[in-house]
Amino acid sequence: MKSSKSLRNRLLFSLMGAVFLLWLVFGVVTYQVARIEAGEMLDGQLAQTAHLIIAQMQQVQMEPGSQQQLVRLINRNDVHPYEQSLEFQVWDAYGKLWAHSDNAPIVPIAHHEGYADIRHAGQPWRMLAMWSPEHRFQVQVAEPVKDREVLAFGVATHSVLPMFLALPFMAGLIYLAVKQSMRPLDDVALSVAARSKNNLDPIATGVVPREARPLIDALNGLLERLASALEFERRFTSDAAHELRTPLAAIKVQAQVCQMSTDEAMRSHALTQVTCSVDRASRLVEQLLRLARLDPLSGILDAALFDLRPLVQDVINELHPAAQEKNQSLEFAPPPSPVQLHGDPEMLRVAVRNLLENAIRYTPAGGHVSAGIQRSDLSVRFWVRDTGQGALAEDLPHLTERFYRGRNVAAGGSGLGLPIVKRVAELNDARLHLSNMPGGGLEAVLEWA
Amino acid sequence: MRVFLVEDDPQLGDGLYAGLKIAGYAVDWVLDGEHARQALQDQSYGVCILDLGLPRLDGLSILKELRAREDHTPVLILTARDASSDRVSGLDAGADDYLVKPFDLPELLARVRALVRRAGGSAAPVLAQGSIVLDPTSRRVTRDGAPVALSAREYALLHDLLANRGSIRTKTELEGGLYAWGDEVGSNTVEVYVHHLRKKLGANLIRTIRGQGYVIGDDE
Repeated sequence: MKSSKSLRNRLLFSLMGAVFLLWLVFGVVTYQVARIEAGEMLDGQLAQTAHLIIAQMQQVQMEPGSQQQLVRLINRNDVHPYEQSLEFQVWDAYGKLWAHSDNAPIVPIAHHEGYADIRHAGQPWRMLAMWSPEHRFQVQVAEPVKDREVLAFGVATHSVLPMFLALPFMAGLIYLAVKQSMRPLDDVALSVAARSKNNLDPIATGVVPREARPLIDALNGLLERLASALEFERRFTSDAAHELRTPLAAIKVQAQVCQMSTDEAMRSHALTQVTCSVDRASRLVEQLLRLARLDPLSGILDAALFDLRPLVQDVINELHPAAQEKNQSLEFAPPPSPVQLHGDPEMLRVAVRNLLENAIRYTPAGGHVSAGIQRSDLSVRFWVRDTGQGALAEDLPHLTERFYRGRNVAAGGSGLGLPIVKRVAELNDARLHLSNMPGGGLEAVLEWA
Repeated sequence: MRVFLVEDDPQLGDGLYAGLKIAGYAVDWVLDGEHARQALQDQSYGVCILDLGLPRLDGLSILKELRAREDHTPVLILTARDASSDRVSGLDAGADDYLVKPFDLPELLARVRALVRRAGGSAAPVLAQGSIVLDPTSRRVTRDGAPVALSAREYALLHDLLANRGSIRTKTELEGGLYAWGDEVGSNTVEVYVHHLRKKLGANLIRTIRGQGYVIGDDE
């Protein structure tokens, strides 16, 4: 048996419970009705008996000794099962008990004719008092109420019992009906359970009952999203692996050049190249890890209020040697007053660094890289501009895609720098804009609006 | 033998350049697809080593264009993708061979030699004419079984003539195989190397066809 949350069990139990309850109510009502009917019937019988006794009394003279005759006449032994154990008394007009059956309750003469409920010998009795036509004597007939109950119970039992016996069959039918109705759901569950983990095709909705459609539709929607997320991950992993292959190939080839060559200068050059390739591979791995850490976040864990200016200045100072190596000028003119932002400063430092590194990498030797902060009432804009080639218009929208390489872009970057900036921007409620500047070069803007 | 190398990764390109140089080839190396296309139009090469993922113009387009104009230069493609679809599309586009990164430099050199051999119509690993045998794998030349010491350019010239045995090679063609871009070319260097080769290998090996060039073997 499955858990109590099973729809099948709930249906089964509620339907069976309802049928049982109906049966119970029907039984009680039948019993009550039977009791009332039996009461009426037996009251009629009492009256008939009283009349009969009065009629008998017409033949028996009210003399001493004739009582036994009367009792024998009335209390025969060969009783029909439904003939009630009647008891009676006969009173004469002077209020003297003239005759009575063996077990009759001795009740004083009633002043009024009619039915009464009395207690005798610890149990309830139904009694009828009736005067003879000339008021010569009074006949009292009594019968234990218990007998009526037995009769009513018998009647009720006879009409309710067949239904009770039918209950198990009913339960069986309900079980089959419920099972049959649940079958399409079972089929769906089986087909989903039998799937391989790679099968994210939508569940066929043809056989699904209408009530389950919204659930299946929602599931299919989820499957679709899952499939595209999985495809994205798969492509990303494969791209990442391929990106790592080139520096690995370079390391291997340069190492083998080193083995093959006898020329000292050539060997030392090859070793330098090995170092360069290892650096590139490490940078790629570092960026991959950074992205892997940023990807699952849905927001910033410990946001703080910080001044953007010293953060940018720090990065600029770190990158000065790299710019100098390419004979580039690297400028940052901070605004005079603090630029307070709410966010994760460590994350933003990475973003600022990536933007500036990109600018340095894609600007030819002797070029200029500049950064600045623009502030208005509504927004803060951190910009980086270079004097490089800029990007092709067709590449511009794709530059923040992972491992996207612009058509004009030589290898060198990890292909993850801008995607990381974009992700950091998303997490810090900022936006990244990339555009070509009118005079050439690329402008990258992080904007808090 | 002049080899054309198209590789956009500076370190990998540098390593391949050095490796090919050590193996005695004259190497021209470009880092992007557009330059590669132009160079392939202007110059003919013994072998082209082509990376598929290139800036500006991808390797497959270059390859298709090369084959479209009936240029049968042997092409070895380098790819970072090991999915068979990438290799299949490379081979279908007209590549003669492929290597998946990261690869072995000696293996690359062996495959280049094999491509050169096949382009010369021979599957045999050694080139021979009479008693002269050239083994490209070990870069050794023997005459009657005895090794002959040759300089890199002498070797390259002999290799060129043996690989094209029976067809006349012009002075310009031979020069093209000896020098990469930026190498200093003397005015009568081919004559000088032919002279050296005749001295070391016998006067009858290389015949001069007046006004046309040089040939080893019959020139039908």
